[in-house]
Amino acid sequence: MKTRAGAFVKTVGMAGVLLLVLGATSLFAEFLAPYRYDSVRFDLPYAPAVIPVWSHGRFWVPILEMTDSERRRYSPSGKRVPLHLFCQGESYRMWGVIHSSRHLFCAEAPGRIYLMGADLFGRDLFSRLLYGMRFSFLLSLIGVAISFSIGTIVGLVAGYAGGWVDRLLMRLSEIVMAVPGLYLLMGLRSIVPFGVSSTTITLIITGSLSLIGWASLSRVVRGLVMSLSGQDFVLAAVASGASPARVIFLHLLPNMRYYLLISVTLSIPAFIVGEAGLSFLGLGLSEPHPSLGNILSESQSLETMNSAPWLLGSGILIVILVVLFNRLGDVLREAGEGGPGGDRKT
Amino acid sequence: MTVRLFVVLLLLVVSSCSRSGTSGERVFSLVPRSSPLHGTLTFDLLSDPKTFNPALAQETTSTQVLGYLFRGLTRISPYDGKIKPDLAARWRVDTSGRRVTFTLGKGLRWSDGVPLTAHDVVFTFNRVYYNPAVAAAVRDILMVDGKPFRVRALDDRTVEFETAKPFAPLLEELGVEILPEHLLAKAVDSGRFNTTWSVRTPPQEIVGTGPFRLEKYVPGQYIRFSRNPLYSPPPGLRGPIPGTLPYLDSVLLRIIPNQNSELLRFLAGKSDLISVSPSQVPVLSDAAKARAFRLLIRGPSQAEIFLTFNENPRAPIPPYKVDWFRNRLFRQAIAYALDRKAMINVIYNGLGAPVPGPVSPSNKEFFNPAVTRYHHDPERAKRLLREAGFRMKGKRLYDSHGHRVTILLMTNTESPERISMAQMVQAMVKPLGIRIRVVPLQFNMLSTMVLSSHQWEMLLFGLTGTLDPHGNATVWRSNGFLHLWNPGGKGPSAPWEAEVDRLFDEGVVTLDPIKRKKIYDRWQEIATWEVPMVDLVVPDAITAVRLTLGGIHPTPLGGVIPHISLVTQVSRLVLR
Repeated sequence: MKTRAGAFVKTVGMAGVLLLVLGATSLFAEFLAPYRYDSVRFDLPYAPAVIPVWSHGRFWVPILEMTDSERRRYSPSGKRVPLHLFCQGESYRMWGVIHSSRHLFCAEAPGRIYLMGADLFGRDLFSRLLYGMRFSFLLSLIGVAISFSIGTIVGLVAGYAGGWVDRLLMRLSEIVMAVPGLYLLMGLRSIVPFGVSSTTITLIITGSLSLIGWASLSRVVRGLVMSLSGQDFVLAAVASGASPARVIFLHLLPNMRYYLLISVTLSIPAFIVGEAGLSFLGLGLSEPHPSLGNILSESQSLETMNSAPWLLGSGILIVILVVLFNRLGDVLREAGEGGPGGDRKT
Repeated sequence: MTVRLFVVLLLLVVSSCSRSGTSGERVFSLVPRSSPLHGTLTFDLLSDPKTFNPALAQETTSTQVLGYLFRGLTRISPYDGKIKPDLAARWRVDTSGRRVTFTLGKGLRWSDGVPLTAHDVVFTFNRVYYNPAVAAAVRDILMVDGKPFRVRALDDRTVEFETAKPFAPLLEELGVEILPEHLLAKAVDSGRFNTTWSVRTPPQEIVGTGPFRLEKYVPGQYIRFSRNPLYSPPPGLRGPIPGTLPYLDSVLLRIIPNQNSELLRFLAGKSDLISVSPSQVPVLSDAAKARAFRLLIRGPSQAEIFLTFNENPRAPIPPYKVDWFRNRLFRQAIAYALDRKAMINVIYNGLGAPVPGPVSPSNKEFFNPAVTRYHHDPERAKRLLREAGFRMKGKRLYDSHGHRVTILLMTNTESPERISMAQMVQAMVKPLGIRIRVVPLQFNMLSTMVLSSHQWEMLLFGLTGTLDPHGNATVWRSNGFLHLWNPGGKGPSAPWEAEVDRLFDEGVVTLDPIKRKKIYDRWQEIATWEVPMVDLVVPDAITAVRLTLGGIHPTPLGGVIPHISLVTQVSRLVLR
């Protein structure tokens, strides 16, 4: 068991492990976050981080008091509340199904725990980042799944069929690639009437990002198919009367799986950044729902950077996620090239 | 590999934080000038002016720029709102209250040397402002009962205004700019007036009577004014030091279309004056000493920020929603659910004030302290909703027909503060079971939706207040063109609307100030009881002024510059 885990870590590298941890964390955001993403405290705008302190055998959360509302300065009021673990807090519905109000940790009512500080409405940045990260993960995974299904199928068909089918599909992909992505996204977004629910908006963003993403992949897949089609084992399969589906699914696809896996990991960052860009421009997920992009867009003015620099944390998180995914792609490629079965032919 | 990357990232963050922390590395000091006269005033504009024609100017940038170039017959004292003479040296109101005779100041000349006479005044009103072919925005306020004033020149220096009925705000409205007949008559005759004096006109052709002349305008970059040597200051305007007015030699306005860069330029000493939003105060207050400026907090501004509801029965929204909005108890419940103190603390750093009603408390002449005040009282809000037939099921509110109460709240994207306020409204009515979705829209789109297609439910918006309550007629009269909650209505749709209409009709023709105040007091009582507009909060008006300037006095009504021609530049800024 241990060796298998070790092998897994070796294949995906530290980056993969970290991503897995981050993904799992955000998956359980409702439980791990001390507050809901829309839980406001209007008396604590831009409150700084409130870190629990250890004394008398337990953790305590100091209670902040605003001393200067003009400059938003806070100081500890001297009072404190104990930090509870596995406690009853704000109720939530995990993944929209499980009804509960249990949190990993929480502070009693007048006290408020802010691991990373608060935003303008006194909402906990840490909680919002967890929810926002989940949104980014979900959006990019679904988006990648859609764009890869389209891209791979189009590439396989074009490469295998050749002739006019190939030309038609490739011209189509070129048209899609020629359209400037951001403007297409803004255009698609503006078709949608305002006031639609955030779920709809999520679907639209995902859909429009995937609509752009498939084209470049399909071209590479087509190239791979064409080069593999000339190889002996494919020719042999065709000669022995294998159906096109059999050739594609048993002989071509398995041979590109490493390439596909790597480009999946490498294109996830594009989705994360794409969503962040849209939300930054106010076209993505709308408040109070958090996404990494719209948290970042809150911090863009000079005065916010001055009073609440911690809001830039969402930008740092975006950078970290992108770097980790790129790194994961690298690790997978190295493993694919050198490891067993890297160039295995069926 | 990843570990190293993390370290690099961390270092980046730490270094950027520590750099922003030490903002006091540049320190300015002041070196006195040999004379405070002949200085320059520099500040930034957020946008280009759209026109140099005072009759056509509508947005604030154009009117601000033209304020240096043109004058009216009267002006309003920024200290107490009293009417003071400007081009007119004095006036006499006859006993009927319908006829006012103005005598122009002696020796008034346009900046090209031609004398200004009563015929210019007659031309300005009869041929420009009352000319249906001219797109003059002020025409509506220069009318009584839909009839224009009769303007006649009695001689070169005397002009008589006659109104169909006594018109209380007449003297105030006559602050509109007077235009030169000798230059513009041809354009009016040939029907080209609407394109005359555009921003492409050579600056020396723009001729006014103001303290400054337009010297150069480079679109997107700057506007420069130089002193008008033919300027004759209004009677009674005297500066503390000897010297001809205006004291300044030039005014330089740079066009910087971004508030962040405007702020940075001010901090870098590149402008002398900046209007500050409360959220910018923390950035500025720490730097005041090193950057040689002071922050003048002048108290609540005249603006009004409010929530309003679509009460238009013909609106293309579900009719049951219009029924909620037409219910006074529902509107009052919303008004009681809002915590204005929290709004001020969160959005304006505590630098603001709740708005009690349509007239600002700083307007001491007309404000009625007896208006219904809506303090934060969620229990009362719940009670009012129950009384209005709404029922809570779980955490959701339903009306008596079983419709869930969900509302779209629109506001304009240009103002981040309004969006934040809308989000706070959303969070504050949530405990009542009301679900609000905030929709920020671009201003033009929003005004189309509100005023023409009527496709909106709730609106968070702002209007600039006017000193004379009659200015509110466009909003409050049921046929006013800004009657937001039921625009284009065919007359009043409720008894209280009919009474408001009657009060405005009465108020405009009543000249006795005590009776007039009573009329508008009654209007404020109705307005705050019926709450078609739920007033929210206004920010304090704040200006940061460099210590190099003289002649700066914060006034309750007119900013920090009581009169532009009294501004001096007492010292220069030197980087120490």
